[in-house]
Amino acid sequence: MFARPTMYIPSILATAVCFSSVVFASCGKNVHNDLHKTFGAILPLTGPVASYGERARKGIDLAVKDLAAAGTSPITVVYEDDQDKTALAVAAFQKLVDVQKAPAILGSASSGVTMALAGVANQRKVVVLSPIASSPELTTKGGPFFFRVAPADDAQAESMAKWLLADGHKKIAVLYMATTWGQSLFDAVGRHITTGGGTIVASDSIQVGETDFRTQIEKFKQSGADAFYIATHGKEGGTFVKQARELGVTVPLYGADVWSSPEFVAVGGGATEGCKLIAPAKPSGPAFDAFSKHYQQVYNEAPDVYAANAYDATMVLAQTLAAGAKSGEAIRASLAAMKPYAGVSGPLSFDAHGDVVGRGFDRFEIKSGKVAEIPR
Amino acid sequence: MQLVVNTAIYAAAVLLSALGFRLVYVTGRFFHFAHAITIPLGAYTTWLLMTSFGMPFVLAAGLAALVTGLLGSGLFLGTLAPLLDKGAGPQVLLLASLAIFFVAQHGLAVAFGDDAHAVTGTTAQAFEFFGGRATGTQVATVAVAVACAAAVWATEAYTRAGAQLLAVAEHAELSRVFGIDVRRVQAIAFAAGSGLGGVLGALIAADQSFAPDMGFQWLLPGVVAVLLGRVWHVGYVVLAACLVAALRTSAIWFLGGAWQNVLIYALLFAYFAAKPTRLAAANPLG
Repeated sequence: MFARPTMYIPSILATAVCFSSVVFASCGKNVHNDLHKTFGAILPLTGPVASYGERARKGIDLAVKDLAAAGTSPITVVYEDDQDKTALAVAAFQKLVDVQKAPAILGSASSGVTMALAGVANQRKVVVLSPIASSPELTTKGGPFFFRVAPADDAQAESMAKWLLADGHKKIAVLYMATTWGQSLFDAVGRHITTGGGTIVASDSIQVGETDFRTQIEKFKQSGADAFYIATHGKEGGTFVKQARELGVTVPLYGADVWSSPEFVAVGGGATEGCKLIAPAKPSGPAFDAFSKHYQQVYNEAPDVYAANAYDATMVLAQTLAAGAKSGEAIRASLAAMKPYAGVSGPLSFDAHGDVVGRGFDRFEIKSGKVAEIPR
Repeated sequence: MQLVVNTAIYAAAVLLSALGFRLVYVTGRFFHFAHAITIPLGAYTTWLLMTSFGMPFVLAAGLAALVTGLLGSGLFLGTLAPLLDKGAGPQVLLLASLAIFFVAQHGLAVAFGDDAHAVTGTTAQAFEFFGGRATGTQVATVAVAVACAAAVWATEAYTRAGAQLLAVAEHAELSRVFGIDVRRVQAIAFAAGSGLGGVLGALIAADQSFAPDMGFQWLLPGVVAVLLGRVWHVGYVVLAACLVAALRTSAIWFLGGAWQNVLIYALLFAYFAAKPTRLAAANPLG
């Protein structure tokens, strides 16, 4: 009943070859990493929110190229794709820290995935710097090794609640993603609307990737809401808006910051006209203009705020390296004490919780298929 | 009334998914999860034909169904049929099919990106039905699903090809003894089933949005409808698709969106608990 020992030889040889290749690969990287110039980037490069990870990757790549061209503090960034999955992100983190010896990680996009990364990062004393994640929970649960360039959503929620109430909407229906980001945004918006004298008359959650919202729309219509607030990604938001207009919804539709994603208009088409959203204030000034011109030359598309955030996040990590910080602890200390860095996304520094300082949100509207800022 | 219309539209989509999966399941006798890839494949093919060649939606969707059917059949003949020939059992074929699905889904993502798209240019004109509203695409989805169900039922009940399909479904070895070309029947069934998946993908692309990862989202309710519909009877599968859709609408309406799949799979479990030997029945047509 038992196999002869010789029958195991092919399996043993195959395993040995694979194991050896991993060992040699890691040894090679270690030699390279003696220079302490390799950072990791864990982003959703495939999967349902890949468009956000892809734009961040472009910003990081551009920063690496600019650093190499300047020759002052060249760095290498090794990418890992988390597919917006916590388990993959944590596995990628272990690889980047154990094999690449990365002292700092750029990423991730979703707040839930970033929260998981922050947990292991604090255990391993490795810095995690996110250009996108915005859940208010990260402020209190991110830990000392977590930093972010995107402003926390509590400010977004407050801005949205004020806008809804200022527009005369007191009865609001809310649809939100069943994620850390969506839940915390829903909680915060609900709190601010209630405080301001409004009421949440209906609410429901959806999963990432859902495409049929007709029953929720009917539920919201029946609730008598005079405005809908849809805290979803661009893909789901575009589909929702399209179906809402098809079903005769005429009340104003408000959305979250990620409606600024090109997917929103691509999916929702003409139904997105007039939709309103709160999003991080669009960078402006000579530094952003120069970055925008350079970005368009390289990628043949305009950068958004997340590309600019990722560019700046890479630059400040390179800056800490140039200043002599080579371990996670040293980089953490350097970022915490950093004076405002003149980034392309605006002045960049962090508060005691690792949250970016001084970044706010602006009001936008979809006009002629473009995300147009509404002047205050 | 709008809820009834919504339920009918969703039931039609589930029915198309179920009819396609049922054809490949009864002839292959394994859970062909790679069938899920036919749905985004139909969506992307339609979109490509419309945007690159300016084809009207109906023509593009028809061609997409043809392309998807040929690819689905070719995939079966090129990858899974050889495993069947070597005596692979249903578990091995299920895992192999799952592996093919993930490779194919990743291939779509590499080729077209992960961003969602929508097919534009189809009619968004709304029709009123006793107070409920549906667009032209949604009416077409219901009409196509009903027509496909009727066509599958009539083919199985009244044609020689249908009789051969049912014979292979009941006992492949015995069918071979009686001179039926089992592999040919399977290839045709996989082509038809995959074509139905392609049609579903095209209709969803026009009505909602599509992305490489949409396959399982639409396949699984169809699988549930097939199993609850006792697999072999088209009429019961139609009823099961309606039940799945009604359960989903009720779950969202009364409990919230988070419950929409929970109740459906709870019902499936209850069914298996009540009829644990149904799928393993030696003579399912009996």
